[in-house]
Amino acid sequence: MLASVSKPFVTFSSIDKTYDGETFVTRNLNFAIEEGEFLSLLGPSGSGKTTTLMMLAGFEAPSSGSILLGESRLNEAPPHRRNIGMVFQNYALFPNMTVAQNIAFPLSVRHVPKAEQKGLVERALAMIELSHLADRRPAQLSGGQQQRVALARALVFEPKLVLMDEPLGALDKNLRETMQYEIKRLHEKLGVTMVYVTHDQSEALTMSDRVAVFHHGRIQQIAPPRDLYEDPENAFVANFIGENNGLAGQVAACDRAYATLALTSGISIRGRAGAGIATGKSAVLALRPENIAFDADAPDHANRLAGTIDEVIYCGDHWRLHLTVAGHNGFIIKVPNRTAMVLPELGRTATISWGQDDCKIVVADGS
Amino acid sequence: MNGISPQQVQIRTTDPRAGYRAARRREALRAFILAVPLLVFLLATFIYPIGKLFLMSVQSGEVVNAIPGTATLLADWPGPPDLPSPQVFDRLAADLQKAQQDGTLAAAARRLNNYEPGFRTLMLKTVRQLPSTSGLPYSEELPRIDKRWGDAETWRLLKRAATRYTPDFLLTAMDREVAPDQSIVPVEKTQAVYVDAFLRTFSISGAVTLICLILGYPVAFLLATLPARKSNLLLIFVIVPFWTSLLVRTTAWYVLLQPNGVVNSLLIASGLTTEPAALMFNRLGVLIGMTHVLLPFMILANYAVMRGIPPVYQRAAVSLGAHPAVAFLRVYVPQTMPGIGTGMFLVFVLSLGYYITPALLGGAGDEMISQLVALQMERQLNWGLAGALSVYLVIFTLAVYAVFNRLVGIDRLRLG
Ligand SMILES: Nc1ncnc2c1ncn2[C@@H]1O[C@H](COP(=O)(O)OP(=O)(O)OP(=O)(O)O)[C@@H](O)[C@H]1O
Ligand SMILES: [Mg+2]
Repeated sequence: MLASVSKPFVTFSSIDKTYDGETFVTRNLNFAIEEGEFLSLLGPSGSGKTTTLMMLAGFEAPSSGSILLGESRLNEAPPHRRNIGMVFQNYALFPNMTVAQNIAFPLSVRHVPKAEQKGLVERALAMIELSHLADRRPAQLSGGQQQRVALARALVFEPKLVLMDEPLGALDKNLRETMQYEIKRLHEKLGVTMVYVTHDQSEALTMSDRVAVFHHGRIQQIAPPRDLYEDPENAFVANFIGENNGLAGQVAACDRAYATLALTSGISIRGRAGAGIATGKSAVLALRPENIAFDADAPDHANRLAGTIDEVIYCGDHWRLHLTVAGHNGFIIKVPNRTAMVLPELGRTATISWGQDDCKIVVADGS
Repeated sequence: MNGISPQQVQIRTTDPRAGYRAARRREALRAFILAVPLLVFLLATFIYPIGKLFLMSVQSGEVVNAIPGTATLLADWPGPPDLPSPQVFDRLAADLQKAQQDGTLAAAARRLNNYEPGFRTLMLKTVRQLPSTSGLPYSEELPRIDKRWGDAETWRLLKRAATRYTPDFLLTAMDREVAPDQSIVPVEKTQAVYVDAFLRTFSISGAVTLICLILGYPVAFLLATLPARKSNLLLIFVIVPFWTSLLVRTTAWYVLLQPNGVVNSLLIASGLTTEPAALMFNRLGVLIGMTHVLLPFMILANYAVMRGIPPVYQRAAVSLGAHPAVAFLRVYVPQTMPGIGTGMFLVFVLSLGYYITPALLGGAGDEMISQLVALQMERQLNWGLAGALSVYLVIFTLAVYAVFNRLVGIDRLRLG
């Protein structure tokens, strides 16, 4: 793996979790969180992200396996002794306390002297730029302000680890972006380790050092955003992150770095071979729409196919074309837009091409 | 969609504030019309009777109505130590005979008896021996019939009673009276019952309120945190008592708690006691019975508030390093304050007016103020005193409301 020079801070080893004794909400989780990193847990609804976070925070106990903090086992530590800061989706600011009292709460339960508390709270308020609202009640703040207070409250006692469960889920798009930046800034400034749950993939890609993609309680891939996007390990990751032209077929040939995928229509595609690819196995194409050349004269492109244009959508900076290729409709291409570009005609047959390094042949499912 | 019609332009150009005010007026009128039936109902069944009761606590027309002439004359009499003039004696003799014929004497005599036990007999005895046959002036004849007529104190009380409005009921209800020298003094120890009764009523109500809070708060918490299916089932058990009449429930306790009742049989059978324990006709019986009846109010008031508090606050507090008990006390309990306040207020105020339960389960030393009110109304027919006691009860209740509201903000509560 990349970026694994620093020592593991939290380690999940063989963590299973079931609520009812039958269905597993998480299955065989093995991963390490490194000190100071920003790790996102990304996945569709119900994939076990919150459950994983709750096990880390201590509100749910793993059914089997162990969680280590450094060298010591964390499983049995009660949540209030874990010293982990947590930000909840709906902020969970205490309505019976003012903003300042909310931020002082973790300090006062740790019996920090009053004078010291005051200084720390003032610093935290200054950090989130809300010093002027110290005496307001949470109900008198806007969503973004409440979110910042929740953040300050989770950071003020200087935990080594901060967990956030979809902290921006309730905010509108502009505010989300501002807050993403804010959280990132605090992460860099304070150097704390953050674990961040989201089901917004652009949020995960832009903020994280690494992203863990969850599906059916398993981690499908855990990698830096760029690897995840450009080097997906399986079809789920390829399809879940960004857009993908996931044509399915069988591996016809496989040498060390490259493989040939035979589609049912008899067409072959050559691309980089993913882990676990072997001749005869069923596999899926991982091909990003922006990597495809449209009507281009590119002799070095290993893959060259014909398709019919079904739909043309103007998106400002690019055009989206939907084509029928090799008997499959819904094949997507993104063509960068230039002013006064000639519009591709509907129903026309076009040539599309891409190089063997522009695509990857991956296993159909991760487990 | 072809432009704005002239009429619309007209509206745009008038003062927008005037339009706003007109809309507000229309809204207020509409709200008022919708509330009229309720207002009429409240007026007829609540405000009017209570107003009437308040009026009664200062009204005392019986004596004036019976002996109006004497009342007028006594108004000019300066009071003891001298007796009134012979003219007043004559007038009284005439008035008494007239009152007996008119049938107003009985009420007046009863009223006078409130001032001095035996006054009623005095009046009836006197009128029986009228008109005088001795030929003596009444200023001598009346003291001959009963020597109390020769005592200026008797006349002073008659004068006090013979006014249309009097502070005496309100004073009596606080165990106070007006002394011959016009100062307000405590009544004799043996007659002072009402202040004690008020204090007893407050202490019983306070105790019931605390017991209900201690028993009801955890139950409400359980109801609010259990899964919906289980909590609905439990909620039925809480509400069932409301389906049975108060009297039935109190009698049931009567059966359970009596010396040879179910509870005592169990206690003796289990060897915990050899003698039947005194579980009723004492304070314990009153507390058990009232707590049982009022507990649902405490539970429901707290449940209504707790149901609206998401469990995430508790988790958040724990994640921030608070021990679960600390999190509960510092984060959860403060949020339930409106429920605690409403529950305590409801139970306390309902306890203040309790009547059947203390009457059936209590002993001689457990009379509550509403029992005394009922006694004055039904047996003594002293509506004035009953009214005065009620006035104090209402005033104390309002004071309690003000305190609770100040402390926990009952009016911020949202039910449901
Ligand atoms: N307390 C619980 N009891 C039983 N099942 C639960 C419980 N909490 C979660 N689950 C189940 O576990 C699975 C994973 O839930 P989890 O909350 O971890 O999903 P998630 O990835 O956070 O989803 P989302 O993005 O919707 O928040 C779901 O199928 C859910 O129904
Ligand atoms: Mg979740």
